[in-house]
Amino acid sequence: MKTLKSYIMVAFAAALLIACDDNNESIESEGTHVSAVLKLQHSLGLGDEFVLTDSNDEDKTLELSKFKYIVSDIVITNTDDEAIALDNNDAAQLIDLENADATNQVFAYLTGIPEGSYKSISFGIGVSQEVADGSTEDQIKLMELAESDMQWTWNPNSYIFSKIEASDINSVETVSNNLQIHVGNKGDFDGYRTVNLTFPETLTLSSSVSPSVHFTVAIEELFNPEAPGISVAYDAIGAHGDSSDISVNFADNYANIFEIHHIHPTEEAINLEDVEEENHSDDDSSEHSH
Amino acid sequence: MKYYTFVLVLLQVLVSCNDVDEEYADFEISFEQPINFPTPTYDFEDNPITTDGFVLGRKLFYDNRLSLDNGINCSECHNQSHAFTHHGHDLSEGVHPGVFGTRNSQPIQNMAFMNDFTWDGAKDKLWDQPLIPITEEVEMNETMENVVAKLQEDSEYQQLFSTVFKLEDAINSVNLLKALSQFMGVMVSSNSRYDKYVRGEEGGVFTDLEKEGLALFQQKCATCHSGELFTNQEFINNGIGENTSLPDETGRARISSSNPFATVEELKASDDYYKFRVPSLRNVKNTYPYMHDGRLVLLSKVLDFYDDDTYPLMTKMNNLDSRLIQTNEDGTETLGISMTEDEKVAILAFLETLTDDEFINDERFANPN
Ligand code: HEC
Ligand code: HEC
Repeated sequence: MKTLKSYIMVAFAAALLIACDDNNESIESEGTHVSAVLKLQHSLGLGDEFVLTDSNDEDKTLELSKFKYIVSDIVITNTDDEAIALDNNDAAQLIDLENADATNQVFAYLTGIPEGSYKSISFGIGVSQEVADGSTEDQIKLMELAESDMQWTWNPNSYIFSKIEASDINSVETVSNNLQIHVGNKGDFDGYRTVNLTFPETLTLSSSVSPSVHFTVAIEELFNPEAPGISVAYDAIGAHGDSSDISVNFADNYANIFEIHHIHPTEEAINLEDVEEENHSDDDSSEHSH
Repeated sequence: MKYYTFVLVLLQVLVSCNDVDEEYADFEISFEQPINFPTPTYDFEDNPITTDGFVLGRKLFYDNRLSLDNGINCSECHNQSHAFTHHGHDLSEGVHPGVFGTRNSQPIQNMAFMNDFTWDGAKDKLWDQPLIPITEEVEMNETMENVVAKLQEDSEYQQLFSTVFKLEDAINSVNLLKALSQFMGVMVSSNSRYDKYVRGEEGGVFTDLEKEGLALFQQKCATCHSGELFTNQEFINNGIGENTSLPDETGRARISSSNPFATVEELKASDDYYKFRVPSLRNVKNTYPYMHDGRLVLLSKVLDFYDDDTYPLMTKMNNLDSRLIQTNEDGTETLGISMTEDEKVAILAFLETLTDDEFINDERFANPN
């Protein structure tokens, strides 16, 4: 009886594998076309020194040790004003300076966007409460992205949206005043913010190209934003007692550090499988995209 | 054209899965709603409970691979004979010998009806609660990545996950958590003698003492331990007082704080300091020791604790629940709940009727290996 059972199981497994192989073949022969590449160029890299003001109005030199954030709910809008929401199980990203190239760039590859002309893009920094409370199946990739270092397991919304950490290199004799801010949805505070940006020219997506969108990410502007953003002393949040106004300002600033510098509309078409092979420095996020 | 192939493939998968369904399980599982219970909070639409999902969840619950170096499994601290608590331990040792957590293990029962999980409500969804025990250093100290990798090496798990989630590569963290949640969702304790008594079923006979205890309980305790779950699910400071050997304990304050780096000193100022979720009292005789840190070993001592008039054991913090403070005519305050020794005997007799032997001995919930 037991052996019969296991025969059936094996047969079933084979059927499953064959079935799924059929499915894969068509994809494999073509590869997964990259619809567009987001190139996020950060103003700082890990190990870089920069100056920020603390709550005593003193300038401190800090050395950046961590900067990472989750990008979810990417929506791209075409010139007919149709908004196309990309599935988080494909499009969600963990952008981590740990994986940046020599010019502080991190690439994100978007797939499966319908051909057409697009004028704008929006995305969330973090994971919205709606998504976190919603379908579990829609969180498969997000959970994997969060697993290693972006999770508060003991918080109702387990996602950490962003982390920035830097050490105060001045303080030799005094207590060091390091920077450590982790944003999420905790207590009454929801740090989820949406970035909305217009492309400087129409972005045309088609199977013959994989255009790239070049973003600049001004990390210092989290603390010293352009108007109407409100400046935040880097040590005023978190470790030094929480003031929600400051936290809100800081989270708001996240939505404004991104800018689209230019796009390369006609870059040669590439396949996701190829870039993933090249980029083994890339985290394992793309391994299980379904 | 592509679309058709896909539908065909899908059909094939579904058909094959059904075949296995019939072959695999020798019992049928479905969620059974006790007529005297409230509406479940479990999200059946998102994570429907199936026999295969239950079987997979159970296998995971009893699998050491969910912990570092395959040391322990969930049942280490959630043992069926003690209504899925840690057989008499106040605090629990995790995978590391001599390293203890800071809380008393809670019974895994009637999870499908709860709004929040753990003593301080660190989670508000059942499906991602196991992230805590799997990853916490004082519990299983493993990473989800490692657990998934270990399970992916096992062809039986590959089978089971595919069957349950109707996908080829179905082993991932979310599905693992969902399977555990299906198992825990079915673990309903609703057949104690008390239940049979209120439902007028066979075996539902109460002695006069138990009837008296029920009446006293409803009058003195059911403001918090209310309804058929014996909890109003609120977070309350019941006067338990600080445990000096656990200086980092802040109760719900650490959850409701918006500052992830808040210090204990800062959290002491919170109105949620030392608030804990009112525990269900089902199977309470078996879930000893009691309170969030297991500091009280005997149920009779719990009653003495509440009877502050006779045994001054309560701590009055600013946020001690007002239901536990009576202002007397002369302006003085009496803390807790006054009870005579006879009344305590009756309440104790009643509490024992909440033991559900069918649940504690239900073989479907036992270690299948
Ligand atoms: C080392 C002991 C230990 C292990 C192992 C353990 N738990 Fe727990 N469990 C606890 C403790 C202690 C609590 C109370 C936690 C708290 O309040 O912080 C708890 C609470 C829970 C709760 C919340 C119950 C409620 O009423 O809200 C669930 C659900 C749970 N555990 C499931 C599991 C699962 C599933 C596993 C295996 C993946 C597991 N536990 C492994 C000790 C353990
Ligand atoms: C004001 C609300 C309130 C009232 C009234 C109340 N309790 Fe509780 N009870 C709690 C809270 C909160 C806890 C958990 C405290 C902790 O863990 O530190 C608790 C814990 C318990 C426990 C421990 C259960 C466990 O699993 O550890 C028992 C037993 C108990 N209460 C019995 C009673 C009885 C019997 C009465 C009536 C005489 C009563 N309670 C009245 C709020 C209340």
